Amino acid sequence: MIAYAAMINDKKELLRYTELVECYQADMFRIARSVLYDHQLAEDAVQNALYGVAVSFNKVPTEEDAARAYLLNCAKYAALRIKKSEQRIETTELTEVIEVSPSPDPTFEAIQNSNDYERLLNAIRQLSEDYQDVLLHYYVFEQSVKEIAKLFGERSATIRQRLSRGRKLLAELCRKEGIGNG
Amino acid sequence: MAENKKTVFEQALTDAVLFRQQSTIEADKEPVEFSEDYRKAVGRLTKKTQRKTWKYVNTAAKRILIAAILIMLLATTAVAAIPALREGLIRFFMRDNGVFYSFSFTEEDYARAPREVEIYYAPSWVPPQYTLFSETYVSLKGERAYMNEDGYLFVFAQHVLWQTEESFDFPSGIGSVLTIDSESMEVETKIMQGYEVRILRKTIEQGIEEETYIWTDHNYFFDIEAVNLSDQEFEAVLSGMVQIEVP
Repeated sequence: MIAYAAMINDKKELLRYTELVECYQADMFRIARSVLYDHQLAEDAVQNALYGVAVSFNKVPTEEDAARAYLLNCAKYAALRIKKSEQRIETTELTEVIEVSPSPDPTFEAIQNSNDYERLLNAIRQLSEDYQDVLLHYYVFEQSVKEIAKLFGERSATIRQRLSRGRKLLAELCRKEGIGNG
Repeated sequence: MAENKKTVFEQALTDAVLFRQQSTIEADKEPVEFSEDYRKAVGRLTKKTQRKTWKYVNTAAKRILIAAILIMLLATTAVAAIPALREGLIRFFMRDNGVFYSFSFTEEDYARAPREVEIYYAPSWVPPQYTLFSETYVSLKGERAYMNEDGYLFVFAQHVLWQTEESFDFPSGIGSVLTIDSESMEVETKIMQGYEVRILRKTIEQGIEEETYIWTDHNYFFDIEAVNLSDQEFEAVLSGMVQIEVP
């Protein structure tokens, strides 16, 4: 089977896409407006986000809460991309390239295997938005660094760095919470 | 796509982001009233996603169905390829089964063509007011989408020649099957800059016509989907096509 990053292919998908638009576009707009403080630009951001969602519809999680988080983040980063272009902010090239560790990190594995929801949530909520988002898209939405970079309007190196630092910070926070101490 | 069953870590991560997003949403007390322009643009986008010009035949059942339709067509209609209008013309095949049009190529073309995109192309000129807002480059396809202030899209896509195992069973040597919904579609063939170009036109609203231009260089299939694009503008786009480096 050829897996194209195709737009919506059948009526079932179209129905779900339409439902997602109806259900979340107002919240997507509020998220975009919180970034851009402008009605017109926020609408543009939501349109861009919805187009991106349609193009990569196979990336939309099937679970409702994850789909909601995904769509709202699509709106947030569509808004941030517009903000960057409006402010003509150049993304700075990172000289320090931190690769995502290909080998399993035992501390992080312990975090991923932990069943202590409350402590995990508490630790994750102490992370900054940037780290939360990159971890969410990488671990929950199973997107590649390249895909995340495209969505966030950042360079792959920046995403790799955030992912690496986010994991380290989360490991530290989890240790403080008593997770992954062996 | 993410698995249905999340781990506790994944659930906590999702919830942390959802809590944060919810607090942002709740902090915004202003009602949301979308503009008429936004509603129209999203409506058009939904229609656009529904229409999905290039529908690759990606299930065995669909492939068998299309194989059956093509065998029937080949048995009942002239199998000869569309005659070349001049020597060296770059041409391809189109069939109409009454529901969709399919576009294909010869087995020889397929044998010569790259399996993955080796050179990505992009228009160096697009109609005024359109700005790039989405790019997709995968091994089998490149796509650049532009949008104007009214929310109309101009989408350029490049596809590898694609085939199914069943395709080569056809005695004509016709290769892959790509399809486009033929409902209310008017089709015209023109020779433009040495290419045979199929132009599919459909009126979507009063005064708004959607066009799809399809051509091939025998390495890739190309298509442009646009609104109220004139042939002159298309020729300008075609002549301004350049190779690009992708990230």
